[in-house]
Amino acid sequence: MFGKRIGATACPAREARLEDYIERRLSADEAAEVETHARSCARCAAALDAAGASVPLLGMLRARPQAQPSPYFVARVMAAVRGEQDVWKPVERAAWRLCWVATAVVLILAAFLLHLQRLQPIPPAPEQSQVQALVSVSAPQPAYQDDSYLLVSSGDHGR
Amino acid sequence: MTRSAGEGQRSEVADERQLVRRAQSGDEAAYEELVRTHQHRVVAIASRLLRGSQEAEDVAQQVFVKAYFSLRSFDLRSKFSTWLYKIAVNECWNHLRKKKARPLVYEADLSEEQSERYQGAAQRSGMVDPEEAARQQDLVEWLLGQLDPKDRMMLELKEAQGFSIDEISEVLELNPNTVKVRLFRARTKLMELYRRRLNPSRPAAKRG
Ligand SMILES: [Zn+2]
Repeated sequence: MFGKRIGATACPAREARLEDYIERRLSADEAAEVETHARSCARCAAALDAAGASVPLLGMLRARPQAQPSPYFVARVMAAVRGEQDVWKPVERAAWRLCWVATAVVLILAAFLLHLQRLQPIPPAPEQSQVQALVSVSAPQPAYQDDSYLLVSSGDHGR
Repeated sequence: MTRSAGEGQRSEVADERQLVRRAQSGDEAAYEELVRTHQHRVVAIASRLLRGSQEAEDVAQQVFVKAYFSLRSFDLRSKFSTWLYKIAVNECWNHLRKKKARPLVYEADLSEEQSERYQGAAQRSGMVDPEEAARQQDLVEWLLGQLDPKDRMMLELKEAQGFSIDEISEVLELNPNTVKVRLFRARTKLMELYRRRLNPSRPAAKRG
């Protein structure tokens, strides 16, 4: 276009503008300004000439068929994604299982204790019933006092 | 119901954002959908930047695996595709660095005979014959292979993948002005190599 030799470097401050020029991103006024400069600057003219010639040459790359993913591409990516997660999954699963088991044990234990507490135990041995009687008789109730006394004393007596 | 192009695009963006949000919260099906949508572009980019290497598909897969595990760091306000391409370019770059020792197909030197053929191909204008078109493309590939890898990648993203200046600047984390300057310099370098290759005996060939 400007008939100068190629391989020269353009004015550094103008390079971005020159790229805009060859890529046709400039308005008519801006393009005219670039051309005016190039007429009086051999370096910019030569660089423009060269860079401009690269546009159709490199444009040939777009005519090349693009590489296509294989039919299994998505499946393989997802398998890899799951595979990498699976490194932690067994650990995670084991931790959860442990959590559940621990919770279950605590709950069963709590239920059992509650059950024990609710049930008034049937006296299996006289000694235990004596203790029970002592504990239950805390308020002074004359009617039972004698009974409990008798019980305790009889227990004492038994020993 | 008909929608305008703008509306359609906006809802597409919204749909994608929805998918990303779901994938971020661990929905694998949503991520699978994202992979399906973007696989072609990512494979094409990897294959382009890795110069047709057989490993391009593996690298592309790695891109999606990496993206999956860094999904939480993705800011929903930015564009998912650009974020993905950034990972793709980085993966390709790392892959190239690891493989540096092995000479790449296009970087081998041209034989005298090849040079003759390319010269003919480049000088005849108007691509009629597909064989000749392929030869011209091979010449371009060879020229690109002579450039600094970063310059080459930039030109390839621009010219082969149709990236905008803004996209390149986001993907390579450079400011748009720097991208333009580097692209322009890469172009002049490429053409200097072209001139030297085709006219080795004439250091200052006249053109035009
Ligand atoms: Zn100048």
